[in-house]
Parts: sequence; structure tokens; C-alpha cells
Amino acid sequence: MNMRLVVILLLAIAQSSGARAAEQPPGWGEVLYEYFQGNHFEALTQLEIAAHRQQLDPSAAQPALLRGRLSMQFGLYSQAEAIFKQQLEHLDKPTLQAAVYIQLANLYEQLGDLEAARTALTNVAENQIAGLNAEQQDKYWYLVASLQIQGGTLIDIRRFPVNALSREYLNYNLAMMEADRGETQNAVARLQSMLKVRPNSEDAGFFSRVGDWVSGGWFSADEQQINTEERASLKDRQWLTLGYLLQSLGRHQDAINAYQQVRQDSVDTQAAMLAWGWAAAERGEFQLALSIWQLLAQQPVYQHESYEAPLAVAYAYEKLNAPRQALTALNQASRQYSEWINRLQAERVQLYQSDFFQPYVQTWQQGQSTPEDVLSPVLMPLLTDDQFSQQVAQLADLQQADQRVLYALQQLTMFEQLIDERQQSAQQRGEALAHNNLLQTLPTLQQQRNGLQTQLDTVEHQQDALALLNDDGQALLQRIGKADMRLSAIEQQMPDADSYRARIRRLHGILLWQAEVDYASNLWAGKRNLQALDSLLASGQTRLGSIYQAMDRRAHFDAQRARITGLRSGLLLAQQTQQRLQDKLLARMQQAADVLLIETEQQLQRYRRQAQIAIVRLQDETLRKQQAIKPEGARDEG
Amino acid sequence: MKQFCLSLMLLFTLGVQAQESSALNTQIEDLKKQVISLNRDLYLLEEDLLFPASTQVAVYLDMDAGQYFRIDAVELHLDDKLVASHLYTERQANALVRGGVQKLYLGNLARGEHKLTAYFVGIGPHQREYKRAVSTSFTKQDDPKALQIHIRDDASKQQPEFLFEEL
Repeated sequence: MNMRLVVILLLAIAQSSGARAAEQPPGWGEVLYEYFQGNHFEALTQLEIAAHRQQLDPSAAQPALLRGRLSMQFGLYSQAEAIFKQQLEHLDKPTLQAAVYIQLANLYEQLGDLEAARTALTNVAENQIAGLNAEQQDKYWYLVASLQIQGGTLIDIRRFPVNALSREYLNYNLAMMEADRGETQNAVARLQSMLKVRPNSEDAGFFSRVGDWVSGGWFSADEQQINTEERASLKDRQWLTLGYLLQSLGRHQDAINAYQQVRQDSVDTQAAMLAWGWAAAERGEFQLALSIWQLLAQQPVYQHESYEAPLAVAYAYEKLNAPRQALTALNQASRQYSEWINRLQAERVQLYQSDFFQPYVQTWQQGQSTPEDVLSPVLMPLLTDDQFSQQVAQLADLQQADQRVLYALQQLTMFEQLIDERQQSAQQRGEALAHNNLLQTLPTLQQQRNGLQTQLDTVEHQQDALALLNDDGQALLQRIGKADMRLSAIEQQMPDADSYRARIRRLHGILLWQAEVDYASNLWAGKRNLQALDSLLASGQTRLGSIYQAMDRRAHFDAQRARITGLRSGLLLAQQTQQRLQDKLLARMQQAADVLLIETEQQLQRYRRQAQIAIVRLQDETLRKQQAIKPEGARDEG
Repeated sequence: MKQFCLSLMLLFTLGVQAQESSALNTQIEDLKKQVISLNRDLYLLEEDLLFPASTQVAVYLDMDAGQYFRIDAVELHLDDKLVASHLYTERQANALVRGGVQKLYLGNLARGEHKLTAYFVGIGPHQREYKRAVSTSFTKQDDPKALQIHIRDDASKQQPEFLFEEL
């Protein structure tokens, strides 16, 4: 119900700001994804991450209210309170303010600070209530009613839907209040009127969802089952209470009828059976009482009321004028009580083992019901104690926190190994680079390229076509030059030197002509090749940059190691704190359980004493009867 | 007088217990806050180490649908290689419909052109089984790449619509 309220609140804010959740940055959507699944821890973490990355402004209304709500659900009440109060200073829309005040009142109510809850609700003005949607209004009226009842004020519950579970809770509390005031007839009438209404869970509406803090109004088959079970359990309690009240008014048959309505597998079954027996006994129907109590005495004890059964059986036998059976039953009862006391004493020793509550905490975490092999039946009354339940919830939270810390520590070890490996491979790469002198190669190549550029510029400037000849042409030009030099050396001895020189000039001329013809294309090819070389060098430069960056990254290893060290010390500290707090919580739970065991043991000792006194009394009566018979017999004999 | 003293002692004891309980609650709240903060730092460190910005690629999924498509499963292929798959619980599917965004994949990719294909399975129009594959190409540069798949109800075609968006 609370979750649904905050969703409505968020949607209202989103609508007012004209933004859909899906259109927000993914960080915000990720928060919602976890939130809608009821993963409060993950949602809070995602919210912190999104704020850290500046994907959202944590002080803005929408994220802040969600954070407040998540904090409340994760048990960070002071943080939630601070956020809600801070938002109230900034929100200017009256209906939103009203909705936040309702959240705040809800928080205070959960903390048991009823005065603060009432004060918060007084800030919601009448005209603002009309501006809230139907569900927000329902929530408001539920809180108002609940607080009034807790303050001892009678309220009119007609404003709540007939089939609503919340109405039944409120009504039941009202009946209890009336009974406490001595207005038993009124309480009976109220309970009878409640029990006449046949619930229809399918159209029970929003208020049937009280107690469902996770799904926010959307129900799976399992959750619906839980809801139905809760309603049935409440009905059992109503029937039992009605029976008690009727019995106190002397309407024993009506009381029996009420007890008979309690389901056989309910937590109130054994109490109802015991009371049924007493109601029957009040009517003088001891045979009926005996059979019920015998049945109860044979059952394993789930409720403390059952401890009375062995004594009650003996009482019924006695009333049925069966002293011998009564005596046998009392002896059995005495033995049974001794056995239970021994078991309790053993339980008290086990209680102080650190893992005593562990199976129960685990079933609690998994949201399962508590079977008797997980928690001793004698400790079952603790399950209805709010403080104990809160301690169990806190213990479960602490254990989950411990698991997260352990996982985080493992992750850090893995990260350290990863950094080691990376550092090692970076070092090897650095060494390889140094060995190959690879880093110096690129500047040399750049110099060579610059030389070629100069050459090309010169050729272009001087229009030197021969300089652009290909390798074959250059070889031919070289041969012509050599031939010319050789001819100059032997020219005096050669008779036909002129003819040779003319041939050389002709060849040179042909080569020059070809070079002139190819000049433009050769120059263009030269420039293109230079450009290709440029892009290769640029690419090499980029890669070199990456290599330098990678080499620089080695410096980050130290920073990363420092982050790991910081995180590890924080985690270890959290682990120590967790252990300390867990020990404290366990000590309190053990103390509460021990008090219950001591009280139960005292009760059992009282029962045993009663049984022993009754044994003596019955034996005494039997003896007296025998003595009374004996003289008569003696007289007969005489 | 004796009763008065006993009452006073009882009140004092109750007061001390309440104070201790409150202090313990505060300590537990502090520890929870600390664990959330540490978890955030761990998450950020993990991302920095395992998915550095230069190679990081993330794929998100959101839904603004419900009438024509209800998601059951998704498979994500990057360059024809399966990189992520997910089977949805009822709660997860509803979280998506209600505005949640799921990070489907976070990984590393080299620079260059890549192809992303998502295969969706679910319940389509008229409550029939619905399968659909959608693809997109993208270029990975040196900065982190984030893609989001939107599933929408297309009222005109009465079909779900699958769209890619580069964030």
C-alpha cells in the first residue's frame, strides 16, 4: 500500500514535470527497475551511482522522494525523515505536500511515534484531501483512524470499503478497545457484525492490500495467497475473541459456536479448543469438555494455552466422578510438566548458542512460515512480539550486509589480481618497445618523408623531369653518364669519338624526351605516394599516442590500488561493526527468549504444583473414603 | 516507599533499555548507509576496471508496452555472438512495463563497426506467442557507447514496435 502511494506520488511529479520514466536517463530507469521489484538495497545503490555520475539531481523532488521512500523501506528511518522534511520545504504544490505529509505520518506510525504521526497529519488540510486521488485519501483516512484508535478514541469506520482488510483490523481494534473499557456488549455486537460480512477478496480493493509492502498494489498468485491467509487468520482471531467475550457474559453455547468457527490449522486453534472445553464445562457438559481437552493434550504444543490441557483433563475426570482416572491423568500431567520443564531448561542452554536463531532468520528472509523444527514451539509467542520481529528483521538485514561485504572483499581480491596481471603485461609491452627501439622508428621515418618532400619540391621548382624517372630510367641515365665519362677519358685515342658522343647525346635526348613526356604523371604519382606515406605516418602517430597512453596508464595502477585499499579498509570496518551489532542484537533476542522461557517454566511449575496438590487431595479423599468404608465393613464383620 | 523506589528503578531500567535500543537502531542505520556507499564505490571501481570507457558498450531495455506485447525472454547477439540472455519473472516484466529500464548488457568492444541483434520472445497481440528479431549497426569510437532498445505499442498497426536508440 505504501509503495503504491509513492508510485502515485512519483507519477504525479513526473506528470507535473512532463517527463516519463522511460525518457529519463537510463540511470533513473535502472533505479525504478530495481524499485518496482522491491529490491530496495539495489535501488538505493543505483540511485547513488546515478547521482555520482550526475545523471540525476538527488535533491530534485522525484529522486529525493523515491530515495526517501526507499530509505524507509530499507529501515533507514532517520534518513527518510530528513529527506521528507527537506522536500516539504521545497515542494510548492499543496497536494504533493499533503502526500509527503502522509508519508511522514506513515513513517512515524511505523516507528511508534504516534504524536509525531498525528502532528504530521494535522498539516494535511481538508481542502488538500479532496485534491488527493482516491487511494491517497484512503491511506490518509486509514492513518487517521488507526491513530485515533491507538489514542483510545472511537471512530466511525463506515468510510472504509466493506470488504477491506484494513476495515477489519480497525474494527477489531475498536472491539478490543470497547472490551478493555468494559463495554463487552458493544464489543460483541461489533465483532458479530464484522463476522457476518462475507469477504470477497477479489473486489476488496486497495485496503485489502494492507501489509503488502513490496508489490505496490500489483499481486502475483503467491501474494494473493498471503493476503487470503492473512484475512483468514484475522477471522480466526475475531472468532476466538468473540468466544471469550461471550463466555465472559455467560453465553457459553454462543461462545462454543464461536470457537467452532476457528479453523483447525490456525494459530488460534489450540486456544479455541481449550476455551471450548471450558465453555462446555461451564454448561456442565464435562464429557464433551473431556474429549476436547484429551484431543488437545495429544497435540504437540504450539500455544501456551495447551499447557493447561493435562490439568483440564484431570479436572473433567474428577467432575465426571472418575477419581481413579483423574488421579492417573494428574500423575501423567505431573510427569508431562516435569518433562516440559526439563525440555525448557535444555532449551535455555541452547538459546545462547550463536546460531540458535539462524534457521528462523533464514526462513524469515525467504518469507516462509515458521515450522516447529525451525523455532521451538515454546518460543512461538515471540513471533507476535513487534520488538522481536523488528530485531529479527534487523538481524536479517545485518546478515545480508555481511554477505555483501564478503562478496565485495572477494571482488577486491579479484581486482587486485587483475591489476597485477595488467601491470605485468604493460611492463612486458614497455620492455618490448624499448628493446625494438620501436618508438624512435617513427620520428626517423618522418624525417625521411620530409626529405622526400623537399626533393619533390625541388624537382617541381626546377622542372627537373629526369629526377622523376623510374628505377629503369634512372639506371639508364646512370649508364649514359658513365659512358659519357668513359668516352671523355679515352676520347684522344678513339678515332670515331664524335660518332660515339653523338650516340650518347641521342640516347640522353631520348631519355630526356621520355622524362619530359612522363613528367606530369610522375610528379602526380610522387605526390600521391607522399600523401599515402603521410596517412601511414599519421596512423602510426595515432598508434604511438595510444601506446604512450597505455604506458601512462601504468601510473593509474597505483591510484586503482589505492582505491582498492580504501574500499577494503572500509569493508573490513563495516564487517567488524556488523559483527558487533549482530552480537548485540542476538543478545537481546536471547534475552527476550530467555524471559519467555523463564515465564513459561514458572507457569509449568505452577501447573505441576497444582497437579501434585490435586494428587495429594485426591489420594486424601480416596483414603478418607476408604476409611469411611472400612469401619462399616468392620461393623458388618463384627 | 519501597514500591515507589521499585517503580522508579523500573522506569529507570526501561528508560535505559529504550536509549540502548535507539542507539542500536541508529548504529544499524549507519552501517546500512555505509554498506550502500561501499557498494556504490565497488560498482564504480568494477566498471572502471572491467569496462573502461574506451571499450565500454552498454545495452539497455525499456518498455512502453503492455497491450500488444508482454516480454518473456530476450537474447542479445553482438556481431553474431550471443552475449546476453534473460528470462523474465513476472515481477521483472512488470517493473519494465511500469517504467523501469534494465541494463541488459555491459561489455567491451573494439573500435569500429558492429552489429547488434536482439531476439525477443513473449506474448503478442491476441495472447499469441510472439517472436521477433531486431538488428542495428553502430560504430564504436573511443568513448563509451550506450544503446537503448525501446519496446512500444503501435496502436495503428496493433503490433509491438522495437526501436534502437544510441544514447
